[in-house]
Parts: sequence; C-alpha cells; structure tokens
Amino acid sequence: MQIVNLMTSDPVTIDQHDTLSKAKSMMDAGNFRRVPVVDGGRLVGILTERDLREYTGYLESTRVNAAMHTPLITVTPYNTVEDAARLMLKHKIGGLPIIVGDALVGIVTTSDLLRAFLVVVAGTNRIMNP
Amino acid sequence: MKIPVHTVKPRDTVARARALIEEYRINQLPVVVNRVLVGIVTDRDLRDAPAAVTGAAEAATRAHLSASPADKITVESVMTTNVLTLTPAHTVADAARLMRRERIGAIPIVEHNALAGILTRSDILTAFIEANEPEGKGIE
Repeated sequence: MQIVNLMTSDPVTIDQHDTLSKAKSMMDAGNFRRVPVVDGGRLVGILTERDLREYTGYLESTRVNAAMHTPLITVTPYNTVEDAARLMLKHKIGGLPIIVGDALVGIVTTSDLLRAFLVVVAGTNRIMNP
Repeated sequence: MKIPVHTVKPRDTVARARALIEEYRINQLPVVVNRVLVGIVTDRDLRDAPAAVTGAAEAATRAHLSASPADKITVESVMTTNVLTLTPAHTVADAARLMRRERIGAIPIVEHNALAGILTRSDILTAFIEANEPEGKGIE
C-alpha cells in the first residue's frame, strides 16, 4: 500500500514566524498534536504538542521556529505505508510530513497506520502470539 | 506486547514517574498495587501535573523560580483511574480498534486481575510491518 492512499492531504500548517500561542489555538481547534511548519510553501519543520509544553508560560512571546523540530524526517506519497511505519518506529515519532520536492502535500500519523492495519489484518492475531 | 512492564505505585512522585518515562523513552506508565492495575499516567498527565494540581499561573511562575513541585505531587493525584484494558485473548485488531476509537497510545493487558503486559501503538506498527513484508525490506 502506498502512502498516497492513506495520507491526510493538504494539512493545516503554521508559519515559522507565528507565535506558539497561535499554534496551540490551531491544534486545540483541530484536535491534532502536530503541525507542519512552513516558510512560504516550503516545509521547514514540525511542531508537536510536546514541543509546546516545553514553553508553557511563554507561548505568546515565542516564535514557532524556536520550538519546532528540524531536521525533518519525511516520506513521499509513493513510499509504502510499511516504510512510514518503520521510520516512525526507528525515530520514535508519531507522524511524518509527506513531501514532493520541497512542497508539503500531506501528513501521515500512527492513527492512519492503525486504520491501515485494520484494513489488511484479519482479526485473528492473539496478543500473546501476534 | 511488552513484558515486563515498567510501572509506578500510587504514592510515587511525579518526578520519579517522569524519570522512568525519560529513561525508557515511553509515553505511559501503568500504576499498580501488588500487580493489580489501579491507574495509568501518560507523559501528558505528568507534564501537566504541576498546572493540574496547583493552578496554571502559579505553576508557570514556580517552575522557573524554585524547585519543581514534581517532587511533592504523587502519581495518584494525576493518574487516570478508569483505565481501558484488554486480556491476552483479545486480538491485535481489537487493540488497534480501541486505540483509534479512544485516541489512546497504549492499552494495559490484564489477566486474572494482574497486569500482564502493555500493548502500544509501536506494537501495532510492528505487527503491520510483519503482516505486510515478512522479509523486512524497505527504506531506513
């Protein structure tokens, strides 16, 4: 299965010069825990809820680019879903931006992979003997 | 699922729980008394603990002026007590469905009232890879 079949296309993004309080409002409103950071249309980082917590009390006065994660671990729409799963496990992360060239085209998260797992696996694997 | 499970006791401090979470790079800790599951604390519960217990404004001030209140707050004051669990007889798909529906990252596995293990989203990703590519090829 290719990521293009599973990803959230055209995700909500935040500009690297915006404040963390704006990022928090977006995450709360959209009910997500990570947001890709862009400069123009170019992906420059990713900001997670965990990053925000490091700046509690300073959200209004801190810019996104001070708290975001770089360098980025990314995939393309034509990598497989298994590739995405391996990268998330290896780097212990919950989501991957999807890029074509420099342009952000989507995002894939562990929640998407849970859905993919349910699609491909018949419900017969016991937890004790997966 | 993961065995053995790292756990804390209800009277352990938030500071101790945070230290375990950082040392083992995990996001959840079951809370047990004599192997019986009584709650669960997440990374998020622990990071929010000072605010939840003492009030956000005071915590924000204190966190930067003096010693962390995490040494004084106990796990039981911030844990979730209504824990969603499964048994070893459930399927991995059951676990994936529950994680999706409840938007949770891990499910304690309980057998005969005792904590037997924990199943996390990472375990589902691993199961997914094994189900799709038994030879284990792919990008690194």
